[in-house]
Amino acid sequence: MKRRISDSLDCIDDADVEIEYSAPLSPRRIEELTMNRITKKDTKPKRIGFRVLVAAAVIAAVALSTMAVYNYGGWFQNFFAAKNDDYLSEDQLAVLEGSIIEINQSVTDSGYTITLESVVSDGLNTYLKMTATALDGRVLDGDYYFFEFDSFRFDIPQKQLEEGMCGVTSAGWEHVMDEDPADNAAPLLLEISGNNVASCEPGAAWTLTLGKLVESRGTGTEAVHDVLAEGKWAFEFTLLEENMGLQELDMLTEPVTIRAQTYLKNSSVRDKTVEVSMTSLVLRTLSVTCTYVYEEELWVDPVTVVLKDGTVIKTKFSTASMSPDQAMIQQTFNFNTPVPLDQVDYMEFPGGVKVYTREP
Amino acid sequence: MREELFLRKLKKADPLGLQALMECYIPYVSAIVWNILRFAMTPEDAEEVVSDVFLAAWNQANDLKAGSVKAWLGAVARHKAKNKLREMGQDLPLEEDVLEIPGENSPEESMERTEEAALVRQAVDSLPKQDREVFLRHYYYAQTVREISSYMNLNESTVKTKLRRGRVRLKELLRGWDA
Repeated sequence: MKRRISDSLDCIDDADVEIEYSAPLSPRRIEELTMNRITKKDTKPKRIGFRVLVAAAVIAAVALSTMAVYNYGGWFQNFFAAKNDDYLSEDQLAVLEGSIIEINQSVTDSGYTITLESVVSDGLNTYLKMTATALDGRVLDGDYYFFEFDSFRFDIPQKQLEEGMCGVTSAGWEHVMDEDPADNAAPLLLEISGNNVASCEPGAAWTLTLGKLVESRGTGTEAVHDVLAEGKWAFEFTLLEENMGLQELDMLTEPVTIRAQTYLKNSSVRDKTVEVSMTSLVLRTLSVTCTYVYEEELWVDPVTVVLKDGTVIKTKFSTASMSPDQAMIQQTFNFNTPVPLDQVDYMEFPGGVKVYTREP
Repeated sequence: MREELFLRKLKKADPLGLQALMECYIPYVSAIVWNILRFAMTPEDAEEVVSDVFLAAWNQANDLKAGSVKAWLGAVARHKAKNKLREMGQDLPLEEDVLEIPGENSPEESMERTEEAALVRQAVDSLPKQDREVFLRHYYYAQTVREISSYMNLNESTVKTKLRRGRVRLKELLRGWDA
């Protein structure tokens, strides 16, 4: 038999030989790289990869060929189908149609018209669909490039912000399919998550102000970003519950104990596993919110929803916030596809804990 | 920071422990990784492999024990660098690295490997101190004959002689075990 001496020596633990350091490697870069890797936060991806975009294009082509009227529901239908890599069921389509609010506001500045077309929201997870149009006719290829606003701000009712009852906990732009990459328009999609976003003071207007339109290509460190225009595009809109067909399913009759992990202080590094009491579990069509009695930030692994026909719907990312008195933590998981609440059988938590829907 | 202290921090998943570990051992781990990979990749790519070693220390902090941290990191660095080289379909350019030993791989291979490992350690430790260092510098740390000659102030022919002596000793012990 043959043995490589260098492999045979794998069993050696040597600390005696003094090895001279002559490697042209950068200790600073190694340290930065390693620290970045251990402190990398669990954030949701903001962009859909090109493979998904191709899938989106295929699904869109099939869907469009059978659709007599193309509307915002159709756009979101294609969006969620691509996001979840599957067609939406009839029940899911019904949920989606009931969650869309048409806005259709346009603002022009610095040679670009931005139109806020529609919003899909379940009250906590909200998508804002927009279109950017270049007035000079410049082609905006939304398939090759990724369009986003580098600068944007929400103004929400101050009173509710102070009470911690209403606010945005995360916001990010999604790379979405461009139906006509050769024209002078490109789609933009902003996803926001928050606490009781839609149930801010009824009738209170939200103002979204956009500041810097950016065109990007590539990903990661190789990404190239070009600022197309700087200006001010402001939209005022109201998310009224009665317009949104909001649905909620309160899943708990009594507290349930689940498994979670704490974080090291001032760090995103997870520390120890703990058992926490979940006192509230509210399922919505695009998200689910869990409330835990715990006095520090927690990590809970993604949960799943299982429908009565056995379909499993997974959550993709979550946001969390402490209650104003720091006694409870509220975590909201977002779904990639609408959930028909009347079809839900149970939810499953880490460690195999199942919470079944209550009998009507 | 003393080794026990930063190990304690590392085991509590405190990033300061990892930082202290890197301050102490980045040069050592980098030297091992670079010796193995220098003919196959750029320094920037090798930096990622070095980072992988410290990430392993972070994830397996409980395996680290005071007094043997350097040896642990050295072994992991070799393992990761050699794996990377293998993934690239390349071999280390070492002097007569392949040893022919009578016999075939048997079903009880894992048990036999344990016995083999003990014999390898015995063979290496039985070498005179300077021969052992030459042998490890070449076959463990992947230094070239010329580099060893320069670091240890020995003629290249002397280095080759010592390497041959080590190979013979290793082969004797392994052959005896196999018989």
